Amino acid sequence: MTGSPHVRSRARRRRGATWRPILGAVVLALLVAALPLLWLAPASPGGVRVGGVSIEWWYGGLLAPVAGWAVAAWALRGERDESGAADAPGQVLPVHGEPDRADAESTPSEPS
Amino acid sequence: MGAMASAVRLVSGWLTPVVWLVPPALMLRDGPGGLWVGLLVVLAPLLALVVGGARAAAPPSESALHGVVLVAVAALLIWANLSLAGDVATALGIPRWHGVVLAAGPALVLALWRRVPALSTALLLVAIAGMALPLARVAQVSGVAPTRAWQTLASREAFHFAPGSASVAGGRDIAGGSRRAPVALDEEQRVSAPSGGAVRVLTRDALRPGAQEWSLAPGQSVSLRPGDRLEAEPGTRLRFEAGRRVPGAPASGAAWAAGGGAPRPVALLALGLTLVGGAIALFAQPRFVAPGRRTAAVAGAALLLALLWAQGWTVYAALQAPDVFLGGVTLATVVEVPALALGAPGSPFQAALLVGLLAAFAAGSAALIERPGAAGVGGAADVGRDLGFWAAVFAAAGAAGLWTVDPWAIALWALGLAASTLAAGAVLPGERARASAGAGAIGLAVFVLLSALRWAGAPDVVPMPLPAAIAGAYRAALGVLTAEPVLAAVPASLVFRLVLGRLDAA
Repeated sequence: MTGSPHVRSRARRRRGATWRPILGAVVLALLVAALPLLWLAPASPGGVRVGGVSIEWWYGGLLAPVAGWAVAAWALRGERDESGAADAPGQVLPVHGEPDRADAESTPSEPS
Repeated sequence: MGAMASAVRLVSGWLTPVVWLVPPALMLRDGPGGLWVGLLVVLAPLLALVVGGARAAAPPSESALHGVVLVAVAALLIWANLSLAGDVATALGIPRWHGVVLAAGPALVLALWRRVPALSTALLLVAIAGMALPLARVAQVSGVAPTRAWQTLASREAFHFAPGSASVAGGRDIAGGSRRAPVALDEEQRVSAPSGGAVRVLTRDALRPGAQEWSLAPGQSVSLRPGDRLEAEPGTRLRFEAGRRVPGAPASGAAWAAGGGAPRPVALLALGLTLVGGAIALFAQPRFVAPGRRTAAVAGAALLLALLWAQGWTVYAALQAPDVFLGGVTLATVVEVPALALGAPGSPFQAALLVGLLAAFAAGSAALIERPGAAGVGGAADVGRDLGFWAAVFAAAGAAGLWTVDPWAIALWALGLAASTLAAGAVLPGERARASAGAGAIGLAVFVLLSALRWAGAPDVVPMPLPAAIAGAYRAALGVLTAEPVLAAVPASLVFRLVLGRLDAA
């Protein structure tokens, strides 16, 4: 059984939506870990200056934060921003990311 | 609206004044070493948001234990910020309790106001404006363009007291706030007390340490030699000589840019685990912060601005107000920068910064108070609305804030507690609350036990007779783990989460 192209592309999208945040979290963790690795590397490459500013400052102060911002936005591309946030203390957001009705109906017909 | 509300919750709950001010304080003190905390402050909450996105379809189960820990974490972070308010008040020359009360009262009222989301956005904007205006003014007065500021600082030969600086003209209190260590002098210096006061000089003659105490009359001075260390009673204002090196400052701009010695991998790892784990514990809960792309875009922009602000504050403070190094940089001295850099004409900018910090504290308190409600367990959902309960928490935190305790140490302990108890359940998927609660209890027990051992001074005690080599290794290992309890508590919690999750699945 192969299923329709429409269902296959939806299944691919859902797999992407599952894996993208995990991959994004790994990339963010690597971006964080790279700064101490720069310090601990032999010959201190972080101290080398480029354009008058040391590489460690370029990386930790600008490149890694900007890259992290972009990675977070990319990783959450498949997620919906919930509307109707809490109006009062203690009131919390409803759980989101649940499959919508169309997805729920299509799930049984997905190839196993 | 949803994305904006979520982003505001994330940014305001994370960037309380203590977390705002730690990156510039550590960057001033350690140079590039402080960048580590700056990078973590930006990336840890974004990582938490992405972890929350991975768990959006099945949000982490949180038990009553998690709810209680979240209330404790919120209370500890409120205490840390009130302790900072007390330190800032002392540094600005007003009684400590004035600062605590001035911060706690408005923050409690604003945090518990019903229309929190719209108010939090406004408070966050006030905070950003209050931080940005003094920086813009200090940068303008310095005459150094932002593109050349870092290079100018890194090429500075030494950090000297300027003739008109506050430490030369009116004198400064070197013992205020959480600053405890004596001021070590690098070169000869004549120090006077314009209003009088007692000073203690720790000397080293012929390799023997000694101490001398003087009670100085108003205007009387004392000569100090290189290597002497100076202590003063809190409240004693001391005046230093213009043109002399600022005690506590790096030897030069190049020395500051190179950083202070080799980094300790264990300390770097512990700080990373604490901040990343703490952020995940607080924000990787989709019921609290919706992990969407627009949330990440808005929150990421605000966090990036905060890091750029911290770097600008660091560089321009060192350029325009080298007195900030006097006696070692603390969070409170970072707040003094407008007064130190601009003098009396800078008072509106000093006021703007204080208003910005108060707004950040109020917005942060509102977000932290809401977090236990997102645990979704019984009464915890209503705790955010309980005016009496949070008034009692603010009163207790305010009373604790009257004692001088390092605000960053309190905040780190709070985030470590959150990481040890909640991060495992947030990171590892699982349907059942039992595994998450069990892992949280293990992480909590390990974290609290190791912290208690440290406070009790027990790392030096070997429980049974052991060969010297084994006893030494035991002491060394326990010393590391008690100094950094997250290094044991978070892995223990993760392992138990995995094991209990598999048992549940079986």
